[in-house]
Amino acid sequence: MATEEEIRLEAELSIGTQSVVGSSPHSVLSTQHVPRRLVAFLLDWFIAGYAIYTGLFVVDALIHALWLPSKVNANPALDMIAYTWRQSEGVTTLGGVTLPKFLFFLLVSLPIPILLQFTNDTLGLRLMGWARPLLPLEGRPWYRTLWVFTAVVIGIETFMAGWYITEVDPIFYVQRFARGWRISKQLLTPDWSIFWMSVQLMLESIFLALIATVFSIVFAVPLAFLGARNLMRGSPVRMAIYTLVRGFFNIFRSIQELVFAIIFVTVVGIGPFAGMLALFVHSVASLGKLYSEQIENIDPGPMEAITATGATRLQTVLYAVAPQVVPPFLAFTIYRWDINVRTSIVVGFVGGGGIGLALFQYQQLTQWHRVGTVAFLTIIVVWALDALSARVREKLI
Amino acid sequence: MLEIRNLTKIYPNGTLALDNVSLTVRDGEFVVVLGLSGSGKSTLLRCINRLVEPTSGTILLDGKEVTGASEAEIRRIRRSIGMIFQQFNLVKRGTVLMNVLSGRLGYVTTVGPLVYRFPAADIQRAMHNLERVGIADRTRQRADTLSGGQQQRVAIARALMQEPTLMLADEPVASLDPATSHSVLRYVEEINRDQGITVLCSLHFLSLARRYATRIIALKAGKLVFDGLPSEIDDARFKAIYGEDAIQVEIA
Ligand SMILES: Nc1ncnc2c1ncn2[C@@H]1O[C@H](COP(=O)(O)OP(=O)(O)O)[C@@H](O)[C@H]1O
Ligand SMILES: [Mg+2]
Repeated sequence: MATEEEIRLEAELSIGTQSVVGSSPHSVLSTQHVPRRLVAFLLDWFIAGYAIYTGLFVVDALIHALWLPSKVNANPALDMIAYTWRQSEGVTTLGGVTLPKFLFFLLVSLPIPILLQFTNDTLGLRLMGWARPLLPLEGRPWYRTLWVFTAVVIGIETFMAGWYITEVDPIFYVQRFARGWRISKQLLTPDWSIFWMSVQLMLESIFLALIATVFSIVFAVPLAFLGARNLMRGSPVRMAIYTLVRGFFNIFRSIQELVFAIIFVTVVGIGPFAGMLALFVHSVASLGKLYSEQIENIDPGPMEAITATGATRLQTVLYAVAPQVVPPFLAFTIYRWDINVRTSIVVGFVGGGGIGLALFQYQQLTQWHRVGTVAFLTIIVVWALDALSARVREKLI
Repeated sequence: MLEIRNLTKIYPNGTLALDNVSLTVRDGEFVVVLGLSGSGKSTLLRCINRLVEPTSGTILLDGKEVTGASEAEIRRIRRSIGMIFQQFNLVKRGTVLMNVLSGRLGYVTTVGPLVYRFPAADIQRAMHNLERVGIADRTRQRADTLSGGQQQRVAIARALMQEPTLMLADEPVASLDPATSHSVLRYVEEINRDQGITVLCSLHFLSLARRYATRIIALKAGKLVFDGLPSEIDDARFKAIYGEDAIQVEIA
């Protein structure tokens, strides 16, 4: 067992002479690791460039945040002047982040990743998961490694930059708290005169979500079987279909319902139909992906057994796959309906019908009592659906 | 009659699972396949009904070529080969009856089975086969409510629905206790003796093999290292199959 001192010595050696000579079995720059080292080098380079650039950005932001406000004061008008002053310096809210600047700092930082490649201890290697076979540093405590140090520095820088870019300002929030309280009081005293009308609109939302869900099942189920790797293995044609279907799922799942709603509102006009279509398209992809993952996770045993009886592929799916996946499918679908009701409210904001549209209008007219009514109803419905879908899922899975 | 000639299987990852295995099994034999884990027993059995695609070699069943059969042909051939598994491979949520009926799918000519409906004759046949394995009173029960031994008997009934001439059994009792093992193997023995169904069964315990087999073959690293009568396996042969350090374990 090597003592910690010896391990550290070994580590230093590997950074220094050993590595350059390249004689040890752990040699850092041995030729067999060249492709990995190249990838790690590129990663480390990017990381170094990012660290330097973000560091300077944060320092710049700190100067402006701490030093300049002491000249002007917290008066909003003077804040405005200070802001304009920065604009006149050619500094935008992002501190003048530009690609050429970044490339410049990337160039400046070039020596750092080069030097790092003489060690076994870079963040790039760690990120690629290649550190272990190269690494003679096992005994060193993790907080004394270079890669942890790099990661921590980057983490702190990123958080500070994020804070600045997001214009986080707790003091301002406290100053303006009274406003929020005023609106909250109105929200908490709902205008019951619009209650029944809101119920009707809420029903519209629930039903448009339901129809969108039902339609999406019809398309998602067959697609899910085509998108399940364990069923599509075996021939290049089947694998091509699988890849295509999976691609469709992934692309359409990543596009928000809101985006689809904006498109469909221009196609079929404002109203529940547009909202339904938006939820439908997203749900096909979303349910399809969940379904096909469920199919991939089934116990292959029954499939093997049914195939062995001389059954056709379709029969095998019906007798060995379907019984295993139908209950989870139902559970997912009810959960999706639950999600769709909630999303239909957001979709309503851009003209997708249902209660969301009303909510949007009341908000635009600053009728907070009425917004309160809608919010109250929404909470009740979402809570009830959530409880229902949780119960059903519990029973089925 | 089952004829296997120069059968070799190399998995895509390069594993040589079967190495030039040749073997003839005559009708009505009860052949037990012995071998350590990873010796190729499962691969051999699965090549016979082409659940695993052989790399080279030929397999003939009753004169018909299994290797090289088309999709439709292989389904017909599979129909005449029953198979039971270590993990029983029943549809757990399905009823016992539905599991047994699914053994009939290879014979189906009507559309009923597409909506889980079978002809009355098939249901009768299923009841009959369930009686044979002694669980006719559990037909409406979910398969996963049965004990391991009962599940394996359901699996036997499912295989019998195929009216097979050959029965493959891949370590059918490896997840069962000794007493249950015997009760399951006795049913396999019965169908072998009474119906003349040829049995090819892989087992872990030599004592079980000696008790049921009419002939024993042994695989080691994909090669056939023994083919003979149960009584011919002495201490030297045993060590050749299982390695120098192995000790014989008796199973009651
Ligand atoms: N699907 C597969 N892909 C790659 N190798 C496999 C696969 N199935 C089995 N093998 C390998 O083939 C050899 C024989 O396996 P198997 O036939 O399952 O042996 P046994 O049933 O005697 O335990 C083993 O080395 C195993 O790891
Ligand atoms: Mg096996």
